[in-house]
Amino acid sequence: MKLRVPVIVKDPEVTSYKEVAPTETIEIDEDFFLDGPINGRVAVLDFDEISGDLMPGTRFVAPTGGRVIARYDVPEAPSDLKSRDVTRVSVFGSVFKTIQMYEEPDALGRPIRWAFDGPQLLVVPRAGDWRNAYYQRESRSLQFFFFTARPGQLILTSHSQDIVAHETAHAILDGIAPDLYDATLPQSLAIHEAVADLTAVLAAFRSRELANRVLAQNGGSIRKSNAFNGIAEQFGEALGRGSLRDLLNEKTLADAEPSEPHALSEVLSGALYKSVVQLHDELTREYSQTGQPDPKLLSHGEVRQMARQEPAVAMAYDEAPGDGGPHAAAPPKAPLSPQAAAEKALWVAAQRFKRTLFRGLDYLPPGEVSFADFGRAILAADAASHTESDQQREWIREEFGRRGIANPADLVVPTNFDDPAVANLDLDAVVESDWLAYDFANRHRDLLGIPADLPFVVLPRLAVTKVYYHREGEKPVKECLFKVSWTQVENNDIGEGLPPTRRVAVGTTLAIDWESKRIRARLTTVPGPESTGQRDAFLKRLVEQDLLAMDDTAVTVGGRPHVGRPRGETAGGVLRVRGTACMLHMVEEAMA
Amino acid sequence: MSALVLRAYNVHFGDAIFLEVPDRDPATGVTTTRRILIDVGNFLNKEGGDDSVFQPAIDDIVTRLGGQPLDLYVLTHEHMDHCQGLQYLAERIYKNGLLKNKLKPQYAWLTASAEGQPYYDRFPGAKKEKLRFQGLYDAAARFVAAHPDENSPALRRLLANNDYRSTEKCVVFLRTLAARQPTYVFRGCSLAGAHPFKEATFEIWAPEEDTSSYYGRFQPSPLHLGAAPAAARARKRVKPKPAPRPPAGVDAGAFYNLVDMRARGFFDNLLAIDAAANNTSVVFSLTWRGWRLLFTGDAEIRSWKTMDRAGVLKPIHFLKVSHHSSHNGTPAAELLEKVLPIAPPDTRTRRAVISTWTDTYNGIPHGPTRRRLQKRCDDVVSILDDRNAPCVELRFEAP
Repeated sequence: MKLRVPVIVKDPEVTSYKEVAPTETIEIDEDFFLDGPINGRVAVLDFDEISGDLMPGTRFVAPTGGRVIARYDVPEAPSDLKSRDVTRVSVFGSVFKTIQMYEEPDALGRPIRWAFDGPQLLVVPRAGDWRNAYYQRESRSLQFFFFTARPGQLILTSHSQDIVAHETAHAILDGIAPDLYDATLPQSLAIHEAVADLTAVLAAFRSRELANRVLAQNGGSIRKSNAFNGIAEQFGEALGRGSLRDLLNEKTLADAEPSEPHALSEVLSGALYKSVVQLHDELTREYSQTGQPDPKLLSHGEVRQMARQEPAVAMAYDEAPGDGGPHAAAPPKAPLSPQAAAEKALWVAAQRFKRTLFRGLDYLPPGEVSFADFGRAILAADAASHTESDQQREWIREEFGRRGIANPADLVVPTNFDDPAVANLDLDAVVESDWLAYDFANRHRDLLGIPADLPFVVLPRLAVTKVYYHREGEKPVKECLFKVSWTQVENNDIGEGLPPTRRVAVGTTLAIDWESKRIRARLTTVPGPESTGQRDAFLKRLVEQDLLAMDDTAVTVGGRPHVGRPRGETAGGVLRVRGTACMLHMVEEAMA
Repeated sequence: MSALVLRAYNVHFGDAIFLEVPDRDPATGVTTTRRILIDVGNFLNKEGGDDSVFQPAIDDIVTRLGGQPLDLYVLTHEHMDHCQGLQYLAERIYKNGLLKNKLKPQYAWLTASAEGQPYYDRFPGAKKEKLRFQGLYDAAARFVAAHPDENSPALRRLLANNDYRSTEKCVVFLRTLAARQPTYVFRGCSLAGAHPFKEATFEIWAPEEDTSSYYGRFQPSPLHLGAAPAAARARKRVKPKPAPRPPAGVDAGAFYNLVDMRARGFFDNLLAIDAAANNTSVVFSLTWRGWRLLFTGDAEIRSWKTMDRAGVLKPIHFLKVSHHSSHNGTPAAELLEKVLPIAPPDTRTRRAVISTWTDTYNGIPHGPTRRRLQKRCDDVVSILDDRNAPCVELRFEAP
């Protein structure tokens, strides 16, 4: 069933000063919808902030007569954004807008799965009185708080599409890379944060009226406006700090406190966002000068696909002379106006970056990954997706080197190679059978990097089909994602009564092409020499601030577990830390 | 009398500690027995908070005073299990000033923040934290009142112990307890003129004057904190309601889990509120003829770490075990080594006293904490070793 809902664009303050419509509509196609909004994957639960009672949900309006699209009982272009109904429907729509970006055929190409045991993400649009928002695996929920910025001005974080997209991205990423939730390596947590911020940017790029207005006001450049690179502007302004985080930055690892995930995340998101800006600049220039992007920037297949995906761009192509190719729309030959070039370049650059980033998440090895591991994963995924156009990969490698994240040479990962271990592997059987998967991993420990004497876990295999773009056009490619994880024990020089050693998760991802049985990429967590010290520093901060709840003392009144605090568990004298991702609230309050 | 005598009274889950200190004036050579009383209070509700224990304790103290004045009263921190006993006695048993007449307190030390408004005017950071604390406390109280299924005895006790209106009432009384204006103490404050001792010396190890650093991380309140004035909110009777039910289409288990976790945020906040007040405890050492005794109130780990950073930790011979022997009242080995090193620095005996009660507060007394102390002390005695004894008495003989 299809549903159309209004969604608040960016946030009410930005749309007000940019003078664009405060809402946009999105369509959601799901099995069913109920009052709430509620469906099988997302449920909005609106608790009264005075009594704590659950309020009745917003009424679902099924299509009647000749209509085929359902709606909720709110205007399609609501003027009263403070209405509870509008808030509920908007947050529901924003969550789905984010989910859809991830699930598109040229992104993950599959329905996302939550990290918790259940199909439904609970969304609380008025979670309570606080200047923050968070995803919490343990309660299967996104919690959006509100606060009084100044007398009479109540700020709802659920009104910020940036914040909703950010928190939804945490939930999605947790389903893809669950080990990050328990990581003690600050860079692992920072990856969560950077991906969430970059997801918010991608969502903002899709708000077309806002995007076009920003480009028009800034000479066609995304370098000059805070509307994209500034995360959660209204929220940040209310906190007295401008936007919450600025992705258009030149920060290096040397500038960031190595134990603080939010500060670290800006280094990573800054490096990646810069590649988007560079791509946008180059595409704008080429569209306005020649109308034809350099194949080093985009493959012809991508160009064709872009033309079909985006209406405004398609219109430009329709007006251009066609080349008679197999996929209808053809690359334009005529230069575009500066504004049209900038608009098209933004859509194309955003789509390209979406594929690079989200597919890279699928390639992440299990365990506590570093920025360098993350870089290798996205570059390998990008190389597999966009074999012909490697300019963005070069930019990313250079940027990672310049910011002290990794030596560019260390980010190169072999892709698309043969290995006898998988040449005759029955992938259907491996995906289906835990035993066969375990047996394969056990027999090929060398391939997977599993130490000979350690037990390991094989994660559920994924058979995914994604759309790839090649010279000849788009092509569905099926691959098997095979992931194994194990733990290493290292010294835990924290003192403070903590065990002398600790357990750290690592692992390997093997991406196998279903048809050719070639290994598309093999990525193993590579703990750097500095990672032990970084974990030490992070854990010391947790202990210093009494945030680590240990063993039997990790309970609150009535013996129930604490919420919102990382837990330390001791087994056989070895520490295992859980739930560090609770430090990733929208604002770094606890670790500031 | 050639011994310092310490009595930890059995007031169940609370502190009431009385010291008799032979104090020799080096100028005159005259020795005067000086008396110190620390706290007097217990947790509210249940046996651990039985108020009938106060009268026999104070009667014994009055007897031991023998008509002499109480030289110094110390309030470690603003919690009912430390501050409510004397106010209770003055209001219910020894009314109309009789308690003051019996004790004749001369000097009083109260923890810095007990000064109230003038203190918070000087320290806006602490004021901000205190107001946040009060808002979260009121929200928790409101929530518990409205949800009888969450209204467990343990929760009620925690609420009662941290009720800032009740503690304020006690503190108002204690500010006027002594003949002289109270001294609001903190690390680094001057104690000149704040006590009559000539021989025994004191050092204040904690709290820091600006207590804002003792407030830890709070969980957000699921309820609006700014809906109505705080006092009205907390006192307003809230009609109990059934727990929310899951709407159609939502998994019941997931829904109730969410509701439970929202409630747990309240409970975590109460513990955080409790810890913040505990960490404002006056921690002081008394040094007398080579003995060093340490009185810790309910200082928790954050306070111990702050003391360590301030460089005040040093070996002692006696420890009033902090926070009724909870797991978070005694620091980890590195810090504990600084006050009770495994290898003793001299030949004097080292002892510790635990004033606690069972079945009152989650996880207290904490057995492993006592065992850790036993490795470092010659003797660790607890009120619970003889639940019917009126007090534990320790003597520190002059060399």
